[in-house]
Amino acid sequence: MHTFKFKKISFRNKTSLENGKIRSVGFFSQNFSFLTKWKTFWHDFCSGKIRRDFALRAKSGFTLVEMIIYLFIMTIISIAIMQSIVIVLKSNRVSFADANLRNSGYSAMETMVQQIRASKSVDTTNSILYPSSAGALQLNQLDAIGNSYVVKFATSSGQTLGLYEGSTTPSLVGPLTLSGTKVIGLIFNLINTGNSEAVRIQLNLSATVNGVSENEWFYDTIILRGSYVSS
Amino acid sequence: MEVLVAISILSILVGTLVLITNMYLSGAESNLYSTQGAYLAEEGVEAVKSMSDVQWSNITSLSTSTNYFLTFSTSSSAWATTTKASSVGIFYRTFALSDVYRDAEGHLVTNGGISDSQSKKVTVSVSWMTKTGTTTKIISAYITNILGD
Repeated sequence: MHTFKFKKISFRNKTSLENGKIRSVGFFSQNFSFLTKWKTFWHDFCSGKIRRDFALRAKSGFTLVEMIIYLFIMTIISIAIMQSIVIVLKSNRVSFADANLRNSGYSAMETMVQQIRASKSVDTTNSILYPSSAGALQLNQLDAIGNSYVVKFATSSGQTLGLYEGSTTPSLVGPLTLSGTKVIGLIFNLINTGNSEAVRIQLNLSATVNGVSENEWFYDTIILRGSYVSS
Repeated sequence: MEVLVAISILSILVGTLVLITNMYLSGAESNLYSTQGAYLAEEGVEAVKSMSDVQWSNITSLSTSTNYFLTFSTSSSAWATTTKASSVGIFYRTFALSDVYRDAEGHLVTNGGISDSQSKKVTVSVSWMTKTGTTTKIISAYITNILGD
């Protein structure tokens, strides 16, 4: 019974000639029941035989062909891992750039939309309208007690969109776009319907994160709700 | 052999990381597109309102069974409608008008009621292609002939 050797465990049946008869001695031998094989394996495992067999095999080293195959597989997997890491890093940069674009676009557009909607007219003298792609928009509003109030949107030299406010001369309140985002283009079209005024905004933003740039346009048109009153 | 196993496990981990990152990337991208699409849809409603401000007949002359596209003329600085398909970048924007019905007290009703020729319902649809299919954002608004022209 104990003639069964672990080293003969194989997925192929091996045969040996014994007493002139062919006897299967492999793992799938018909001479051993499953329980017997399991008992033998457990005995070998507990006695440390299996570990010694592996250790013995390990000491025997590898052939040149085995080494070449291992190195080849290792090289293939290493290349795949390196490419995956490159993809991961680039994806992260694109994600951050997209998130920056979205946040800056939302902040800039939402503020402009609300301010334009709350205005009564566009100050065309102090605005830079279409066809300039470095536009500026100055809006005439009324404050809570009915006095004139001026709100202006303009791009600074650092390509940041700034919000300016004041009673007569608007002064910088703060930026509306993130520091990693640049305003590439800002175009304002003044629409005069004869009964109201509207402004079309075209905002082109670019975000760069570690060399990866993303560029997107935001569009909106807003009617100056206060312009109905003045008409 | 051990090195091979270790590298295989590492490659599975890195592969999983790539998949998760790509999902994150898709999320950031779809957020960006949703924001752009929302402003385009808002612009659609405002553009139709601006056309109605020019003349209410600009709206009543349009069919309620046709999807229209919007074009902006920079020379006249005005919005206009067209049936010729056009897109804004990756976004495909259309709008449709529908009749508005009111009951005897003037409330909006979806069933029955009397057609109100001085009001229209504007439905703007903005669609764009994503990796998983087409995303559509639809907004509706009621416009009335506030100038009485």
